[in-house]
Amino acid sequence: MKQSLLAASVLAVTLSGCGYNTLQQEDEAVNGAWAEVVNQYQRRADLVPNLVNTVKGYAGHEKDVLVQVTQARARIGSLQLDSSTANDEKKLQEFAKAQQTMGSALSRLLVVSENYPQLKADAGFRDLQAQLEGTENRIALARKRYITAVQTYNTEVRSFPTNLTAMAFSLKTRPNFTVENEKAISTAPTVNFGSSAGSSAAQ
Amino acid sequence: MILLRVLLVLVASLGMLPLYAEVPVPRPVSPVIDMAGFITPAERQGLENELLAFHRQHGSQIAILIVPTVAPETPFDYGTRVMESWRLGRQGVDDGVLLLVAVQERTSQLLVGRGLEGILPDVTAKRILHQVLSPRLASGERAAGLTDTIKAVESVVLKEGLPAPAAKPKGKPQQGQDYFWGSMGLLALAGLWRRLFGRLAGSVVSGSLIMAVAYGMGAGLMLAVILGGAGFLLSLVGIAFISIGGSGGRGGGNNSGGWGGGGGDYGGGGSSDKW
Repeated sequence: MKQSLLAASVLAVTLSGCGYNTLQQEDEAVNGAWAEVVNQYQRRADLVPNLVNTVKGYAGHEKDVLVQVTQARARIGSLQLDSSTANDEKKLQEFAKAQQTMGSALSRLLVVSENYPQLKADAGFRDLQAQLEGTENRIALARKRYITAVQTYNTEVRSFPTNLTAMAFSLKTRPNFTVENEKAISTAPTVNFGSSAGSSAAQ
Repeated sequence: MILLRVLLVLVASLGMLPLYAEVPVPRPVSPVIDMAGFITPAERQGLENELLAFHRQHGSQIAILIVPTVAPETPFDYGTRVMESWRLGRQGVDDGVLLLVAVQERTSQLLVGRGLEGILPDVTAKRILHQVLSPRLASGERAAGLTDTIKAVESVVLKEGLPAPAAKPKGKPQQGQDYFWGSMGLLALAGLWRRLFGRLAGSVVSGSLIMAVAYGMGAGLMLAVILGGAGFLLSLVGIAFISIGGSGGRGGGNNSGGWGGGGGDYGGGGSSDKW
């Protein structure tokens, strides 16, 4: 009894000393940050049906943009989201890409809606715009915090001596949002008003 | 050779300039910080009194920060840095609001703490900025615009039914500091007792003195015993360095009449508007 107690306490001390607890905490922090990211993206997706309906009321013939947004929304809805998404590099990139498509489709929709004064004056549309702006902000912040959390965790997994602990418990580095698509997201999509007919024909 | 090196350093520092070009976040010394000379000092004082009173009465922290520009960042990015640094609002309640005004950008941004996102959603934030603040700023009624905006935010925050500010911590930390600093002062004298009575007896004297004074100044019995014991041990070990370094410990954000950074969480809520 005494021996096992001693063994347990020795184990506890060595484990916390070698960073096992830190790794667990940081892994959990990444999970928390990921939940927030998913949450905020979901919030944006939830705004889409309302937004599309409102724009349709005033600018029904802007079919291209409306269809793009709806399709992007459908694609996100079809993505299987579970805890493995954040651990699987491929799934994460797929998720990020789908969300990126959604983001650029939405900003295109907002740019197009600038051409419709009546739409812009609609109180419901203005509210939706404010909600969308806030949601995009929250997404940006959640992504930023996720990236930082993963960086902290990955650094811990790779640094000596915690890398030995990580190896012993087969804790691997976690995939992060790439800088590449970060850049794409922060670049505003270019919209050519002059040849909107031409570009829609090309598509 | 030296010239070349100087040149290299110059070039390197030039290259680093953009890194530091971000507008720095000021210290949260007051609920109203005007770095752009946007309003008169008297107007600033009026707003500050209002916000301090609100904070004391209801606990929530609402702050105004006016900067000349936020370039190269967006108002949201800069405001987020401010919120992450100040952490407006109480810990766990997360009831902080920051009104950021970027003068050159002619943009206002309301940043809403997580605990107030329900009662003050983005749409409401947008309406307050768009209907209350922007028209006033556009017509030059700066102080009136800011005052009305703050009133609007306050009336919304009050609807949330947040927990009242803890009444006790108001008096207690003050007292706590009293006996803490009292003990520190006595500790500084420990060297004297040691010289007078010898190491052990001198330490016993300072320990019991600290205990008695701390108890007299309002520390609980347990706390007084702990402080006294700590004083005894410190004195025994030798505290020459502590009597010097001890006075440096005073810090914390709560200066200027109970204002400072809080512990509130911010999740990106709020809205912006141009005037």
